[in-house]
Amino acid sequence: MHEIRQASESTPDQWYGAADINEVLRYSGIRSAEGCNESIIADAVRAVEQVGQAALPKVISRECSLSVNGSVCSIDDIAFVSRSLSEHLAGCDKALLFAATLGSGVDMLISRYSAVRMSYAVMLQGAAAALIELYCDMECAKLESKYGNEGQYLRPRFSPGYGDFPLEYQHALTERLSAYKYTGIAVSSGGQMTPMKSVTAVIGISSTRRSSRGSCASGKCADCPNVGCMFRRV
Amino acid sequence: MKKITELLGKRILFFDGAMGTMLQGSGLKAGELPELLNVTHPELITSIHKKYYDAGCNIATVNTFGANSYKLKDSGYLPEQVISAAIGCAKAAREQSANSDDKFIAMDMGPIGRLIEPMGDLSFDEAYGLFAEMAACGEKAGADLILIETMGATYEVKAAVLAAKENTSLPVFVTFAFDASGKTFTGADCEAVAAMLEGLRVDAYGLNCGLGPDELYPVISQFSEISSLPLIFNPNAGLPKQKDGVTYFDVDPEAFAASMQKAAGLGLSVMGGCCGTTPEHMSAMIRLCRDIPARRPADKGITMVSSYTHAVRIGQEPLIVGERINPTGKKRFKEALRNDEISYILGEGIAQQDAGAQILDVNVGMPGIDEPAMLVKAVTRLQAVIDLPLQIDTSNTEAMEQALRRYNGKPLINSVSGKEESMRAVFPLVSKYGGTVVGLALDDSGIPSTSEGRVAIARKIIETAAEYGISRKDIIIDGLTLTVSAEPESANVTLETLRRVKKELGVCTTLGVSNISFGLPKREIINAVFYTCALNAGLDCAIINPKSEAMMNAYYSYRALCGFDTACGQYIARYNVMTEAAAPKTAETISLKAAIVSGLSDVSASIVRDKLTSGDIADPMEIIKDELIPALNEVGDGFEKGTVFLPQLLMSAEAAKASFEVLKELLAGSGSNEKIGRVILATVKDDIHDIGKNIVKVLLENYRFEVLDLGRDVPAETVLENVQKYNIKAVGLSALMTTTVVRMEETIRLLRKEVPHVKIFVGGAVLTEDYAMQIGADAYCRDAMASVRYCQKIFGAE
Repeated sequence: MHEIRQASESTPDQWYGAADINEVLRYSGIRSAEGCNESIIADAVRAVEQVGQAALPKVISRECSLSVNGSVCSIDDIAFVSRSLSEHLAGCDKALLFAATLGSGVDMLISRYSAVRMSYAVMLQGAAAALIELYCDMECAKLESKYGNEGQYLRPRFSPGYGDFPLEYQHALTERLSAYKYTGIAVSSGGQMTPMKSVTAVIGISSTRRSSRGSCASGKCADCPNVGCMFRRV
Repeated sequence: MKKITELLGKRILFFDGAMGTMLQGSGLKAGELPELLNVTHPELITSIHKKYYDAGCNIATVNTFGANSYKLKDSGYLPEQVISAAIGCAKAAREQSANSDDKFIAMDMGPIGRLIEPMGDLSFDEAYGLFAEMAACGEKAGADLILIETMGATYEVKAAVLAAKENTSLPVFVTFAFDASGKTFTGADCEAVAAMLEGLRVDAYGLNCGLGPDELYPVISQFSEISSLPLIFNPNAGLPKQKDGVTYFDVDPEAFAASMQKAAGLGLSVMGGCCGTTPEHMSAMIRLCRDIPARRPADKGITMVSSYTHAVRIGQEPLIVGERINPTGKKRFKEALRNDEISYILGEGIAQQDAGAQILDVNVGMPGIDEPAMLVKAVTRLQAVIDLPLQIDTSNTEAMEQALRRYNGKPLINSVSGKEESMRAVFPLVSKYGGTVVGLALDDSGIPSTSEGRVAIARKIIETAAEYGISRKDIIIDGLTLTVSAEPESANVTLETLRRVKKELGVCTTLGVSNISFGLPKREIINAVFYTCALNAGLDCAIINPKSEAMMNAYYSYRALCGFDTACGQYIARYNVMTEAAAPKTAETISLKAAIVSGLSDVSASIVRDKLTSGDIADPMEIIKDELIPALNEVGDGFEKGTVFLPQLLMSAEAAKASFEVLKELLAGSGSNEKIGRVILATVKDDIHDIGKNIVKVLLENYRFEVLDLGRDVPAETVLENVQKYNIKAVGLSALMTTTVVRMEETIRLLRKEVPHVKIFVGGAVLTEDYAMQIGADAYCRDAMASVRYCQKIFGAE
């Protein structure tokens, strides 16, 4: 039995303090922190603080039945057609649908600075990218420990847009989770998620551990074929 | 049969519980549109309503939560069919029930499921249209009231309430979904919600969904402290849990009823349930709560204005209304208005917020511009980046109405006067859209020279407002500041008016403070002293320049002296920091070029200012040639080589811009201010990610291109129209995702067909050189500098 988590009541006030500043810099287009003057590092730290305070993080997940047949993954009554997703879920018995967001306050904050100080807007955008990942990792760690108690393992998050898993499935995924009602995540008519710092994913549940590849809360780049990516984390 | 509004507040009325939960219990599959059951299985829906009526509920919420044209678009049904069937079901249930006299039918309208601009892509008017259609169908089919529920976004609620009120004559109830932090998911708190809804004159409001009755108790309790309208409380049966793939809620009927009984003690008017609640929950609740007396809340008399996140209470401590968004006497502002430079207005707004303003005045009235259009644009763009309440300042009634309509919250309205014509024009707008209105103490005979005369006009304004249903809490009086150099007694009269308005009329006050010093030298000195006098006489909202050091000194000192600053905390925080910042700057020690390369905006601007005032330079073009351009080139080259990163590139661009702004005044008219050429930038249709496009814009402007920024989610036709209208030579298009690159291709195809001469450069995360060529672009620009280089090439400005 698993509670569908709604609001992030259990997220501590300063959760964003755990953000990795190097990661923020990387997402802001700074390939190496070496040679950065102190004011840029200070901006990155401030950006994390401001994004953290503007965020109203919310998450929802739901356990679903799973059957994989060729490139078709049937998750509850939704048929997702994707070879990469099928391969990713191979060996799983069930799946979690997952959605998380930092909330629209973060979008507004980035717009605010885009109007007057683009350099800092870029840092905020980097901080927000790092924080949504951090938040997802924190929430997945909770799910992982919950399932771990029952001897089950969670695979890395797999999102629409990865491999051949089409972005169009964001509609089905958010609908199935009632994500708008619980988290405020909406899909625009063009198929994009708002708030912009939002993530949807499928997480495989398996009774066997895969030691060579990542888990749901960490090392989620392990399955990605794009090994040269500057954002790769393994 | 009675109207529901006649019973409101006289006894507790009971809403029903969940519809969705009951339908899932009846075998509705996830993913199916529950609203279609109204047509396909009316007997099922009727039986659910009947169970709730039998449990003692007074109001059946019909099964139309998502029965809007957007959600039904692929269903094969129209809203009218689904809604009239839904109401038919509730009517049938009511006919079968006992005591049908106090049983009502609520037309239900839930969120559309898309966020409204600027947070999302749905336009306010589109949202309005969807709700208007639903509301009208509901009334036609026989609903007794409209319930707007499970709302998170105040802007969507404003569209829904206006749609309900303008298209039906039914009472309107509104409930928001809050989380345990006391906010909706768009960040609105209780006061923001209360201020806006009371301004819009809904009949009752409150909470539904979100959490269970215990988790939401603190939130409904907070509403009960501030609300002047009947409150509604429809929580879930606790928190949703999942067992064997089935969702259930963890609070049973008895526990639910006990929690609701406690909440009823707050003086609630309407109670019911949301997700997970059943007829058993309602029946248990009604048993415990039906004899608890309801009371209609008294008017709490709190003067409030609000933004989409929070409210500002007026009359409790001195407030600053930033006066800078106003073209009067400002050459640069007028130029910005003429050129449609919204970013300049946004910059003024943000700077005032950073300087300490709590409310921003917005005035864009100037001969030769379309004021209604410009005011709406300024208000909607400002509220997209600033979370302060706005003061809508115009004497153009048409502009006022349009801006009030599109304002996300409850604004200050500047202004009405004691003139009959003014009151007739403005008060209906205040009572329709909500707002707190500034009443000017003048009438058809002009401005009285005595405080008696001004107080008499203020009284007339308050009394006339009451005839329009506008309570005195929503009037703040401007006793009028006249120029002391022209009329020696005027300052005394103004101060005396302030004191008397507070004492005799008991309403809040405002003043445009700086008018006092027209015609005098060193205006700031006298402004600051007059401001202090006015604060002491009871001024609540001072319309001043928060960027003026002298005014802010008066403000912080007054707060510290008069008990508004605990342990002088704000005073100390401000002036301690300022002493540190006053340490010698590096301005004298580094060159302008070095300052720009290091991205130091303030230092760069002050070096230029020093050079100009010291007469160091004869020709401003020298600075540009010898320092600005070499600095930009150095940083640009570094970026291309990978030694300078994006934020640094942009910081240098900003420093160069700050220097250039200082030079701008001098360059005006000399011909040296000319741009290289005009470029259109747009993020393509369906794409709402515009950060990349904005980066390109900053850099192109830095390299003296004039950028026509069409924004995001831009249809191909709009790009074409602008290319033709302004005879554009180059267009930059941005798209973030594979799904929107398709729109980019469509845009290119249209431009190729209609305006083959135009050069198109493209960029975005998923694009590559090959991909760009494949969709027909002239150039792929991997980053912002590449866009600059490309434009320089095609404009021959390398």
